[in-house]
Amino acid sequence: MAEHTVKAFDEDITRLRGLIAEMGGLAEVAIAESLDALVRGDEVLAEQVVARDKRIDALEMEVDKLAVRIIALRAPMADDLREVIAALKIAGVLERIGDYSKNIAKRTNMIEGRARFEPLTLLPTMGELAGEMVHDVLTAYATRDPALAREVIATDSKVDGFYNSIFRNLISYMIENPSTISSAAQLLFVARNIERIGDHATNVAEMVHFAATGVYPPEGDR
Amino acid sequence: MSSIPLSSDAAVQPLGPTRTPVFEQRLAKRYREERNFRLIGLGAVGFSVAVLVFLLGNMLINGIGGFQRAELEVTIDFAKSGVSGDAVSLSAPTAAQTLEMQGLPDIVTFFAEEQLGKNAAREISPDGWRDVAAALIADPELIGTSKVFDLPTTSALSGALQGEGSPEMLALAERLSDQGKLARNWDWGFLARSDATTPQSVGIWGALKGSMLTMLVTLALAFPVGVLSALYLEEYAPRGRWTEIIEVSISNLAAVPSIIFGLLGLSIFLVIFPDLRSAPLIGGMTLALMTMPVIVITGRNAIKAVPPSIRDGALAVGASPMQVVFHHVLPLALPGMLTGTIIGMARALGETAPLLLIGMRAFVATPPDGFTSPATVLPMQIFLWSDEIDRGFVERTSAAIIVLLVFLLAMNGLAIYLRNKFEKRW
Amino acid sequence: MTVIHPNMADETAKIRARDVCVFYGDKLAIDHVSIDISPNYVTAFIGPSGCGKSTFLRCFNRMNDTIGAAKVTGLIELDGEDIHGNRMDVVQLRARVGMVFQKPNPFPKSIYENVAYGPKIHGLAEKKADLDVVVERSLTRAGLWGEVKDRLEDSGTALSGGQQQRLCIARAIAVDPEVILMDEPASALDPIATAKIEELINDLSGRYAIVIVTHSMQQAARVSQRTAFFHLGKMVEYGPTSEIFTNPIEERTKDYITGRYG
Repeated sequence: MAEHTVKAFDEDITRLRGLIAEMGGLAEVAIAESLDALVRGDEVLAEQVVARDKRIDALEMEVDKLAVRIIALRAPMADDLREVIAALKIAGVLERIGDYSKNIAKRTNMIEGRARFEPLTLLPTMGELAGEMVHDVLTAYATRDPALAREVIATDSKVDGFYNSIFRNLISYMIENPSTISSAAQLLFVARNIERIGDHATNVAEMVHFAATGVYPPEGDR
Repeated sequence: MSSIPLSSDAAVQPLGPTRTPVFEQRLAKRYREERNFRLIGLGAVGFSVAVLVFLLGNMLINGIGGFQRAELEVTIDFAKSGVSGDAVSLSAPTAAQTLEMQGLPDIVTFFAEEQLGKNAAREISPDGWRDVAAALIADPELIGTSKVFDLPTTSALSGALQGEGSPEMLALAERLSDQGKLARNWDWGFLARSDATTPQSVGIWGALKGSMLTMLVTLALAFPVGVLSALYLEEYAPRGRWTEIIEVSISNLAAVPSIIFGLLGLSIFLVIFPDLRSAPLIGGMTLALMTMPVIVITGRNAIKAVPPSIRDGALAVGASPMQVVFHHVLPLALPGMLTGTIIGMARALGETAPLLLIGMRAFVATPPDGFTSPATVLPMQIFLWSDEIDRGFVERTSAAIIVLLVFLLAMNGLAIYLRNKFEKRW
Repeated sequence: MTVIHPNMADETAKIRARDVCVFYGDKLAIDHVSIDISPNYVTAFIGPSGCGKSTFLRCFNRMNDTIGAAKVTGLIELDGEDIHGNRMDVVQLRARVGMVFQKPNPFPKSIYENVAYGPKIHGLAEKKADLDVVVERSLTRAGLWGEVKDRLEDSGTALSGGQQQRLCIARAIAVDPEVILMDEPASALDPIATAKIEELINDLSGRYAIVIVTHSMQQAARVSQRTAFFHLGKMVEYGPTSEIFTNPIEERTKDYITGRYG
């Protein structure tokens, strides 16, 4: 695509994309590390995840400021405008994804008796899938690829499927092992968080599609 | 896009700090050049003003005397004179001749001899009796009374009063002026009389009226034709070869020597109206031919100066082309056109050559009655008087020049007044 | 190829142009442009300098006739009547299709005379009382009445730039036109005067069909409901303003709007 006549406009857009990319990277890492800490019971790692969430929050405020500045000073039109609006919303969503990861990490020290917890093993796979969704959707944003965005939306049903099976698993585990209810309940929340992360990634994918094409993806994909 | 180099380009030296010695030199040179230029301009203006002052001063000094004449005081008692007449007989056009036949000139001489002596009476201007006749015609009640008259003298006595002439003349002049009978008075009659054979009796009114009538004819013919031509050429004429040819022709016409127009007048107008030789009508027509191109050219420039935005605005509101011209263009162009017209008229006022050829150089002793009676114009009168032998005409010629200049000044003043009155800022 | 957006309400066009070309001598300034101008909306023409938008606008009231070298071909209809036809009187056309120019050009007459001139020459009002009514109505609609009602005899050229432009608009309104053409009406004005003019356009858009040429995209976005993008004498895209500025179809339109042109 041709460059803007006013170079500073291009620089601003580039910086905006960079901030989103940084946030996205941090969010991806947070998902993976929070689950890792949870499964292995690594409380040090869990604390790191919680601390790094502040960075994500700070980046969201920077994106807000930059987006408002671009709108005021550059009067963006057409796809530039859609991109800036999308960036604003994506930053909000990424910040929430970071919060969910922080939440997962916080539950690390509430799980007892790890070695024998079967459902624990399901969670990393689900988390990986969600993490991939986030990764793909950010790639789609960077490359303005609506097709990739639609794929991400399609993947959400798999994550939902995972959630349902983990949910049933945990329920039956709790019935069979009532003494593990408090820990198992924590895992319920964790699974819920990962499922929400998947939904948020889907939201981002819809916004990416809108920014790239000007229309939202057809309903059937959800 | 390539980036614009901003700083650190080795070939360009920085301009600061300001007051280096090199800079001071350049500054001094610049100030000098500007001051010299101003002085040269001032010198040019000063020179022009000096020439103007010299010209006007010269005219005034020479001409002031032309507004005066030497007069002898004579009392005439009509009751004793035997002149008869009443209101009816004196209002006839031949009244002056009737009085002459009654012996009015001799009566005047008689009274003069009685009061001033034979030598003095001889020095009364031969036309002096006409002043008395004019007074009688103006007021027939004078018959039966006596009145003091200031009668014009001959050139010889007039010259003696100013210190030039034969010893007898000088003595006579001195004696009479000591007696209070001879004096140099303001001759307001100069502005009311017409051409005559003696310088003491001439007046400028005849030529002045002739000039006015001629100018009226010129204006009446040249202004409408010129303005309408300018309008047509600027607003309606299609751009093309024929229009260009017409434009060039009119421009060249403005540069043609004025005497050619005289030839034109001679060969056309006098053939059509052979009886109207030296009438203001013919003179006016000839001068109109000469003035019209000037009006067309200034008119076109004035119309061109009206900005197209005014026309666009009028057209956009739905004015027809004629409404645009007459409601908007013409009012805005009018000041310029008026100025151009008056300039052209002022030039026509001072023209002698074309009028020479059509015969307005005749001796005309009475002011013209209308546009078709014989007349002369101011520059022509000046030319004729300057040719005369009698020394008394020298002063009169200068006085006539002053009258012409005043007339020109009045016309220019009118131009400025009209222009200021109609000027609209757009 | 012109792209015309779908979903534009199918109303009867006030002005219909078909395959209009304008030649300046041999140079083609407008290249086969066809467009329907709606009576209900403000239509904006945008495009880079020299793209022909002003030239095309001037076709609608035949002001190009005053330029000797200009030749207009194609069909332009006002309410279904061919404006170049034998039965159309160009003077009458210009009363029905008014125009406001880039640089305010009030007549060097009084404010009253400026507004009253049009109605007088078209015979719309002759008695002083009628003219007073027309003048007051036009100045009120142009948003100028309050500022000048006490000095109607002052010269029109003594007003500020923004007031002069509103006076020109009042002058155009006074002859009760059906269409008002505006050629960059606010480009010579400061932002406050510009805002007043834009507000005025909003007020007028219900009563008159308005076509505005502007080189400010923001102004076109603020003021119009339909926008046409011109480029090198061709009309590239025509659609609802909101769509043109959020999601244009043509690449050239997008490049121009986002500042990537050139």
